Amino acid sequence: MASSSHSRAEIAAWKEEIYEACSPIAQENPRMIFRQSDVLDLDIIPNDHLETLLIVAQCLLDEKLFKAVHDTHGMGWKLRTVDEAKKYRSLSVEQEAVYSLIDEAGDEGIWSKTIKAKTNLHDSTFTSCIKHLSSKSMISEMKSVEHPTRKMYIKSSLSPSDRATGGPWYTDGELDEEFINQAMTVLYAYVSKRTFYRSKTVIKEAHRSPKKVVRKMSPEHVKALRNEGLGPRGVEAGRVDERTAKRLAYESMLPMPAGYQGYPGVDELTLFVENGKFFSQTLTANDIQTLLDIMCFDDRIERVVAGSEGIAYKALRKSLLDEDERSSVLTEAPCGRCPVFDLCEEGGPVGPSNCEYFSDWLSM
Amino acid sequence: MAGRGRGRPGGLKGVTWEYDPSIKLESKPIELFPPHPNLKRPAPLTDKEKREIGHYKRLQRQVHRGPLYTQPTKRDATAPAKTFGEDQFNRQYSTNPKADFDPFTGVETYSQRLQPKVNEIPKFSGRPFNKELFPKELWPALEGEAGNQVRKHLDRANEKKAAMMAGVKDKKPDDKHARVLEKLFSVPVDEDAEEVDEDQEQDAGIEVDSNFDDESMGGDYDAEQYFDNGEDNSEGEGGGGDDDY
Amino acid sequence: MSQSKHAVELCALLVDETYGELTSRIFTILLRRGRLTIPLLSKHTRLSPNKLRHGLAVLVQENLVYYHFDEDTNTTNYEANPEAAYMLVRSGKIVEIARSRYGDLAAEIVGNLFLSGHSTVKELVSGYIARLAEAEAMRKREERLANGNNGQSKTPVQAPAPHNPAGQMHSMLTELLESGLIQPLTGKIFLSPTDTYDKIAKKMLQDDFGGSIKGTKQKEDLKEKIRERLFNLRSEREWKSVGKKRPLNGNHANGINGSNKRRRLSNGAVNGDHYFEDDGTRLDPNMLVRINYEKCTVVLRNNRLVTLASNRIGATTAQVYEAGLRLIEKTVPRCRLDPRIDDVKDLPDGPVFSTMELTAALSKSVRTGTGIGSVSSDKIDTRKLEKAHKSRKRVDEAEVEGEASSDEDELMDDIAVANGNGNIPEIDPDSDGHGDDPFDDDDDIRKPSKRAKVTFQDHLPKPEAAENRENRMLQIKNHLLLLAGDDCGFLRKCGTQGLGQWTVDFEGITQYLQEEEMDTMLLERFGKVGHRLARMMRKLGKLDEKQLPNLALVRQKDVRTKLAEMQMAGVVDIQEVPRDSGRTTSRTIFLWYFDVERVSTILLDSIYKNMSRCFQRLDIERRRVQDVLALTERTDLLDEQPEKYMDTEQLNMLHEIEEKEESLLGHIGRLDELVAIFRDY
Repeated sequence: MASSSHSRAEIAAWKEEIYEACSPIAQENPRMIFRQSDVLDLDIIPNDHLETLLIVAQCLLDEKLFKAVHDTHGMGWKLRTVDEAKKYRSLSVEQEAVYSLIDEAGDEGIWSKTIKAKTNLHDSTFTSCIKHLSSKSMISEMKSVEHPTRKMYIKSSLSPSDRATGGPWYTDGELDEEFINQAMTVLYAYVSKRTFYRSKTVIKEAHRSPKKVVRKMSPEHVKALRNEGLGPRGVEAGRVDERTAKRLAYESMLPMPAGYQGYPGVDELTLFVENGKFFSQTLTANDIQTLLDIMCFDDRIERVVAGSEGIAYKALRKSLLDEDERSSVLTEAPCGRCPVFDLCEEGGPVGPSNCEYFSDWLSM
Repeated sequence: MAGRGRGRPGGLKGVTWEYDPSIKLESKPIELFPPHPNLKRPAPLTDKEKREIGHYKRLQRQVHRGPLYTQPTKRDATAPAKTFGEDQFNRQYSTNPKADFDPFTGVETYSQRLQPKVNEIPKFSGRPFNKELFPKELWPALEGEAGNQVRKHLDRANEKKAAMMAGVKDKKPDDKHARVLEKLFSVPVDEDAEEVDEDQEQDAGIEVDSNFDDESMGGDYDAEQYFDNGEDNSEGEGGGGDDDY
Repeated sequence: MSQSKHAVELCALLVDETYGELTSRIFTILLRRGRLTIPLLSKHTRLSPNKLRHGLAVLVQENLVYYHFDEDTNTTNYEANPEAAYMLVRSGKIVEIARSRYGDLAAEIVGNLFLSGHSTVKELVSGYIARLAEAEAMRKREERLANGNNGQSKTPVQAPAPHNPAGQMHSMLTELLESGLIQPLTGKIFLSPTDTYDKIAKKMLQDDFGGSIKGTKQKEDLKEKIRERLFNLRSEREWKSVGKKRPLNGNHANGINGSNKRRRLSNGAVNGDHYFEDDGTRLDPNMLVRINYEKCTVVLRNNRLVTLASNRIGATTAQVYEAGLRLIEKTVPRCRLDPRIDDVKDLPDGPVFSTMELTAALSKSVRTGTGIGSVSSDKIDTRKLEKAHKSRKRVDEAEVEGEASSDEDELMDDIAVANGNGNIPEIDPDSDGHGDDPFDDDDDIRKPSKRAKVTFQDHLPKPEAAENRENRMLQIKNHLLLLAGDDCGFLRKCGTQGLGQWTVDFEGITQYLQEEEMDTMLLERFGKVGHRLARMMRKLGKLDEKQLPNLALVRQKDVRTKLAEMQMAGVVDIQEVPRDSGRTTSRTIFLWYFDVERVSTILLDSIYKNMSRCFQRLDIERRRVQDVLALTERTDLLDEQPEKYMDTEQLNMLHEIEEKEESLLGHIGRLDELVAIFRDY
């Protein structure tokens, strides 16, 4: 009973004091939630008088400097900056409700439908609120790559999160495939260079005397090799045409010995991309990892346990070949990708006897 | 006609009932062969593949010339028909060569004398068979009616067969006469040995041809065959009747 | 066994192509209808019993049908053997295996076995002798003719016949039996596997279980017993190795017919000389032999694996691998185990070879020093390699891509191998220099070759055989390590004897082969994106549609289009998981998945269809030029060169059809390889 009346001035001073004491902490950690005990621990409220605390807190809430929150640990307050508080104070109840939702959503933004559902506002009220807030440049529209069709809002002071923009892979909310491919090409070139031992002797010898390509092993062996069909497109002796040159380049790429540790890992590749200044954007190790994973799925490189990073990447030998050089047996003949394969039947409208594709193919 | 199909009442701009030669029918059915997405030249065959193909073709040729091969009897070889059931499947084959006799091509002509013999049924006389490996009911086929005769000439036939397998055959014209004569003399008079003889005939040439052909045809269509055909026909009629409804 | 429509079609076509219409008609009905008796067959085929008996006899002879005689009812049932029918398409490949390994005589034997289904040793020998006699006669005639025509004949002159053809034949057959490419045959193989199983099961039930069984335990017991019995039956049938006689009485054998030791039968034989010797082995003349398809498949699989090694690692390593596979080939009787016969639960460790054995077996012409990049020592971590050989670390590291001087030949191979290795003890002074980037500088490249040359000259006068052998062994080991280290698991180390023992886990690598083929197909048919998505799903399992664009970095709408396209083709499928009872689309998770089994089945079936189409087209192409082809079949022109009797137009047509035949058959052969990968390996 004795403490029932504190002067307004006293209350204002404590209010001031508490806010001052809390704000550095809040600045450090914007998500900080102040509990009742935290505030009392500041030793500002005399005798830890709860009622006084409540009065002071209510004042702060009224001035929008405090924001009440509930979580699993019970009730608490979050701090708003003075500027923010000012903004809040300028808003009507409905506007505040909308704005606070957008505020809470942070850099993820919030879907207009969610706001409507949560605030339970009438459509026209909602629209006018949004209009007001937009005109004051307090909020702005944003696009999320995850939900490209949704109308989203975000505080104007924030920029959308990576998740919403899709990270470096998106330009204006659109997947930048060009960029992704470029990045992969750069990575592949590096990995590939580190995977193979480019034996120039093979090429040199070949140029000096083309026959040596064939004779680099004993003739008997080459024959055996050809017999076994190792060279699907066997190198013909004495002719270094385009195909053989290509083949030669391919064959001069030798594997590294087992246990080779020089394959690059993610960190090395990240550094390489950063230092190489290939792109205006910075690609983090995570971004590089994403690309490497995709290249693994594309069957161009594969993971190996090696190197200082534990996991490294090496290029696959077949990735050295052009795409047309490694066509699938199935699609070599017309049937493989025949548009009418399902209909094809002897005696049907489409069948082997009247197949035009076969005619073309056989006369190729 | 095309105009009427497409013409809309009121007419789109410029569309009249006049004949327009440049007009194209839009409602074309989908093409039977739409453009192929990737028709391309296959990778060239390796030497190994070429050899494999060579072996394959050689084997095929040897079987085809051998006694076990039976030539197609499809009635119309050039028009493959879709077959939906056994009835239809079976009907495309000839059951009785006499019934399907083609008066234009069926008559043996001089120029056909050198065509390879057509096997109606496989011939087993050319080689010894280990009968124990076959079910008993097939033994008659293996032995043929001329089983004993076959055995008599077995060695010679075997030799010939081996030669044929190897694909090395004596075909030099100047030598031929001698061989023909030799064979003519060695041909047994017993006509039951027709199977073996037919084999030899291929080499023997014209002299004996006409004679033996009739015999061989007769041989195939003797009593048993006759009966079977009758049976077949009645069944066929039953089946055919169903189809007619 | 259930056969897809396309498989049936293909088998029927193959039988038709090879043995003609009568057999094919019977075979087709048997495939479609299952096992039948002659009267029933007659009903379904509309063929007379007489014709049927003839056709069936051919089919039995070629082992294309099984038959089963039931004593109780006194009837014989016939059942198609589609596996054997399919193998007809592989005949060319199998003959080629025999030829490339054992020479022309072997090819001839295998070819004859294809023609006759099975044969006794006696028949094969007499056939061979007859052929030789024929050839001899022909040769004489040629000579006579050549003399008469002033040598205008172009027929190649045959080598004179060997002196002891029967002996050769016996040796060759023994060799083939030892290799497993052909196998002895007993009457039992004409019983279908299911019949065999039933028969044994019936007998077992009667003898060991008193006619009936109770409970699961007894059931399992019976099953196991039957399996054992079948296993023993199969083992009994297998060829019992007689052991190599050559090393024992080789001299003696040569004494008998030593004069023809160096004689070649044909110019085409691959190092066939010594196989044409008679080593004195004699087989039972009445023994029946036939081709062992299972073993042939093993050989084909090994060839395929070697190709894979060549594609993934390199040619030299592939050669080493090939030799390794050859070493264990003998102990691999078949590719796929039959759960009814083989003990699949309690598998012994696979076949093993050691580094030492391989070094001894590897052809000297394989230059083991080549094929692996050279790297400075600090770039290699041997921790994972064998600890026991740490002392030799340097050797391991310095494996040099040792291109020898340009003019080597077989004689110098031994020395060529030594180059590079000769330098191993001395540390490359530059190793630190190019440690950072071993690829960039030209020096790095020049050095090995220069060194190689020097070494070559240095060591020429004093080849240190022992050291060479050791070096070679280490080089080989490096190749083996590469193979073992590869992702698709060419080899697995399983012991340390003989400088390391190695085994092959065929199942894993076969799966890899299948996946690889699947991927190529996907890449071709659905492009990069489809390929990427499918591989993701295969690796990661079912994936939420929402996750896919982020994982694959592909636009949502492209992902959907692509997935829909693939779903239409039956390659991927979708599973809907509603998150609540509302089942609205927004509250549903869409999971995409890639079913490997299903895709292989679809793929296999479309390959069958594909092959059928090729055969049918081939038939049509042939029919179009029937007139020309008929000419070549004329009995009087059989062995003449077409150039002699055809005019230009006909010749052109002939060449054209031959070319077409080649491309179609070539393609069929390649498709067959795929079938093998998905079905047989």
